[in-house]
Amino acid sequence: MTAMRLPNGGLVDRTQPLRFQFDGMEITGFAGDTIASALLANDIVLAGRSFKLHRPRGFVGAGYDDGIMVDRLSPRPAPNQLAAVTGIEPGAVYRSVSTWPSARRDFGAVAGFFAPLLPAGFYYKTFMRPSWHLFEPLIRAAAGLGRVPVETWQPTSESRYGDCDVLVVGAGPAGLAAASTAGASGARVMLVDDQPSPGGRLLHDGFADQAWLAEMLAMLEAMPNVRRLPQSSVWAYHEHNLLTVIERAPSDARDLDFRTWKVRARQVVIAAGAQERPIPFPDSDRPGVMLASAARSYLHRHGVRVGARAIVFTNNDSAYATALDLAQAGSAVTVLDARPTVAPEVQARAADRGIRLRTGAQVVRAIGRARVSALEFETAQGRERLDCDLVAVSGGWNPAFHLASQSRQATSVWRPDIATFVARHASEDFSIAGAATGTFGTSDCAREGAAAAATALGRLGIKSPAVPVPESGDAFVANEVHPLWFVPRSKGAGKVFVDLSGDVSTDDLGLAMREGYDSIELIKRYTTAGMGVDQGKTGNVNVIAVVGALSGQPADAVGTTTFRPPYVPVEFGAIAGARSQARLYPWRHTPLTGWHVEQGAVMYEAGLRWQRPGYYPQPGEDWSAAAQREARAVREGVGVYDGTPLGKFQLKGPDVPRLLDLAYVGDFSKLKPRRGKYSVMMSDDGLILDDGVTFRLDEHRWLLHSSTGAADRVHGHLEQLLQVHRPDWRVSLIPVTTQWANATLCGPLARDVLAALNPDFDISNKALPFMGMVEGHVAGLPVRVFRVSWTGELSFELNTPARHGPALWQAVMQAGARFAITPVGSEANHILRVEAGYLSTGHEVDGTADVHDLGLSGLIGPAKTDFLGKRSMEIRRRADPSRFELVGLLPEQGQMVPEGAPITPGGDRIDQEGFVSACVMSVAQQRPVALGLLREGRRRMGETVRARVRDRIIAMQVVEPVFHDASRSRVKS
Amino acid sequence: MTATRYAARVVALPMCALFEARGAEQGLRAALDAAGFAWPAHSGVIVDGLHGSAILRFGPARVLIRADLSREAALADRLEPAFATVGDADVARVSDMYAVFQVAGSSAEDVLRQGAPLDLSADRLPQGSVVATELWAITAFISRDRTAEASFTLMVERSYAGYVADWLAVANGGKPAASPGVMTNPPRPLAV
Repeated sequence: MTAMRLPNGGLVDRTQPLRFQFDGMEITGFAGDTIASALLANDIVLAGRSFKLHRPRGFVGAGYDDGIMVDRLSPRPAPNQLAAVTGIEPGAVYRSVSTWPSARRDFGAVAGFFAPLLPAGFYYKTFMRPSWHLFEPLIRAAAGLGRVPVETWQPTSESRYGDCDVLVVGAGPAGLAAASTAGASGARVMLVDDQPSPGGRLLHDGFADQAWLAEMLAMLEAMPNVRRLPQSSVWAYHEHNLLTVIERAPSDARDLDFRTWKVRARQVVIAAGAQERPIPFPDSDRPGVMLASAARSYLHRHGVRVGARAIVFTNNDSAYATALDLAQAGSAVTVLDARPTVAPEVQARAADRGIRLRTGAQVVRAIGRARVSALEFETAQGRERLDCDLVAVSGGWNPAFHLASQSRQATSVWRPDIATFVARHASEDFSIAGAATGTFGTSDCAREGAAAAATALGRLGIKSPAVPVPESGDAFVANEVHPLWFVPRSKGAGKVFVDLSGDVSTDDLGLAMREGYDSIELIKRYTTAGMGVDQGKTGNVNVIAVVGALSGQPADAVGTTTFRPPYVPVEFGAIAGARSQARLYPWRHTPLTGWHVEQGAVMYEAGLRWQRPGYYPQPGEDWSAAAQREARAVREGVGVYDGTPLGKFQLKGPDVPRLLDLAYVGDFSKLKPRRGKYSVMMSDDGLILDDGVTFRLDEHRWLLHSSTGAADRVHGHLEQLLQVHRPDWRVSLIPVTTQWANATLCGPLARDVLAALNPDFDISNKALPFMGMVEGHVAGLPVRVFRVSWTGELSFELNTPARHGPALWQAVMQAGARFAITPVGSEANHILRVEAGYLSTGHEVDGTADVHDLGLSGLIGPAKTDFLGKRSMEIRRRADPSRFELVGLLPEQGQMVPEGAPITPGGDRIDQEGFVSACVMSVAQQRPVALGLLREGRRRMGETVRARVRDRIIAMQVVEPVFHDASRSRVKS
Repeated sequence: MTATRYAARVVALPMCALFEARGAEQGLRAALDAAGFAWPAHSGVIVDGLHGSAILRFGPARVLIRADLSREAALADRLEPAFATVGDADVARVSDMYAVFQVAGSSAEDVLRQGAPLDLSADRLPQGSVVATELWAITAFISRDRTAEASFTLMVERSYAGYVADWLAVANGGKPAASPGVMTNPPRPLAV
């Protein structure tokens, strides 16, 4: 056993042992362990297989920089849990991702034998004959990520908005100083950190600064204006300082798995730290090779010494902290320093701990397959081999300025002293501090954090107080890095993997460049470097530098790729929050919905989020039979439908007639009180926006009706006309759509039912003609009654204040019982209006038709000289007089035609000459009838045209677009 | 352990009397003045009016007058004649159009911020102020009540009442409200 839990140390709770399973093995860890630390504590170093080649892989990092994932099989099955950040749960069952039967013995390792067939971009080259689809299922099954579990389980998530004055990303020294400074000023602060406890690297470093850490925490705890979000990550930085945060297992809501925040911050301080990068060498992907900082993190946070015979391979001073701590923990440590010389004080400290030091050293290759067992390296003295069970590597540190880049207000610039990119920005919206800018000493980081907060507060006009900063010096910081981007392969040595998550080696990068992918963005996409689980956190800069080395350019000339969200993996369930089932989209009900549901109506959306009854099936009926029965009832007797959602707008003012004349093609100025007019509303590009009936209620007030689905559009259109184009017109406009519930009687017996409701007004045709209105009472309830029709039958729209809606409907059903009144849904309405040749927004009114196309030229007021859209319509018609025109269609042989089916010459697969806008089984004609738009349709009456429906051709006769009561005698009866 | 995640109390209030008045600012002010109602000095402000009413102002050209439903007739008797004399302002009874909810308690904001992107903190939305904002993708009027405890009154279009009630229940950490008569997709496939 070489990796082990030390008897003391770490931040885990040794009083709470937790048992779990991994790949069938029973493992014990402690509360506070991650899956990674618990496995390492049990000397399980090989924890996964690489994405493509199924090479054995171990833990490289100790946070989001590590790419090992496991599937949680229970409880709450979920794939792709990051082992280095996911806490263990008692009784949980985990298994390695995409392995069989286990990570240790994986059948997929045979992929290694096919490595020459699986270079970068292989799926464009190999496995193409006879068909890629032959190989695809096997390749997909073998590659990469965990499977979505079959068992349904939804996390309990909440999504919410937040606001603050200063949002601080990261709770290391810089972040803590920034948050304390901002909090002490009284500003509203949010401090977001991905660790369970704040402190950042102080949790495994800088032990002289623990007192300062405790002081900062106490200060923050005492500030009610500071909200701490531990175990949380800022994963997206959008425009205008909108940031998305995922909070995991929030402490103030124990039932929540996740809380997603959408935070608008007035200022942001990015103190996200830096990520260590490796030095890739042949076979450096073997289990047991990890980042030096990771080895130190496991030691101090979890009390796990990850190797007894450790080699530290480095090009900077920071790794010496790891070497000293491992030696203190009892490991035999050798440091291989790539630099020709090392500072004397560093050498002395190493010697004090019995650490062997070799300078000017370069690792040649790792030896071992399931675990590293030795290294071969070269110095000036020649090649040597050293046995080991741990290789801790440090190639330098990359400031984490990803979020600044996502904001699109920062670019990257090369800093040669630390051999990496840092952010350059001049934004007034955020500051960057600490290791995220390339500052690595604790005191310096804290000072920068405080200064960044002061800058942020200054921008908000808030005075900033001073907060204490730690004064202890750090022994080992990576202030100067001797660049060593990779160790090339020598003869017989293994691959040099630069991006572990994507299995991308230096060979792949070279191949991409030889094939002509010469920009880093193209190389990324072709090789998938930087696209894996860790999103290039450890590999990106190395990839850039390797590309530079292979192309003979410096790294800064190669440049970086574009950083995009998410910064860390985020579960879809966390983003969705509670948006599921009935909360997926807004929905609306009328006051009569309860009755519809009780009657067994099938409800679904029919315009602008309204849930409406589609049909009321009786036993044994499907939708078609129900719709036919309801439509027949309207044609032969009487029906009633709920027309509540129809848009309604109350207008008042001396300029209302001018507004209506502008917005509609008709002439409203002469409309008398108690009369209505049907017209068509045009947009300013000369196409139909909506149609509807407007009534003049009295001398001063009007009621404009729009179609249900266009109500919001019409409202916006009218407001724009009044506020922007005609602000001098005296018109007030009040939407009153849902103030009124509506029960519309329709059918030859509609007047009989109305009479049975005891109206206190004259309902004769003379007193209440078609397009007339009256106000009064029926069944003791206040109503406005409009005589309009959308079914082609005698109709009365009874409108009552919505509170009376259910009572009115009950009264109607009671009064109509002896006339066999039938409730009518949307499906039957569709049949009736198609038979009558009435238009529907979304069918014939499809956004490309004008008033002439639909045969409504007669609606244009003869005396009207202008209306909105007139000029555009005329220009369009002049430019192309061959228009799609409304026609009726009779499909042959009783065939139904899908709505939207194209009409093409001969039914061939060529450009359409029209389309079927609606097709129904007519109750009036006992056969399918359709409406459509056909090029120059009006002069093609009697012609046979053809609709193309996949491989079928349906012949149809062109007829007038009305199939019932063309004279409208029933409507006007 | 509380039954819900948060300690907010969500109550659906009974229908209240509501009148909406719109028009050019001068005419609107004149009509309200003629009816005996004060004109709120700023947009977003609620002032007290006759018959125990509250006058909520939204911008230069829109006002809502709210009171207990028992006052509806009395308010109509005052408002309708006053507006009849003014040409470019109008009033409409909209009592049936809005559903009203109250969300109160120390975690009322925790519930509402799940749907409202606007900052509802006490210094941004003080007592006696109202704002029109988005709430779970629909329009809502949210006002902070003049009470010792944190309390908000929400007004949403009544047709959305069931949807909002469901969200409030779930946002509070409780079970979803029953929503019969809601289907997100039409049930019939188109036979081709």
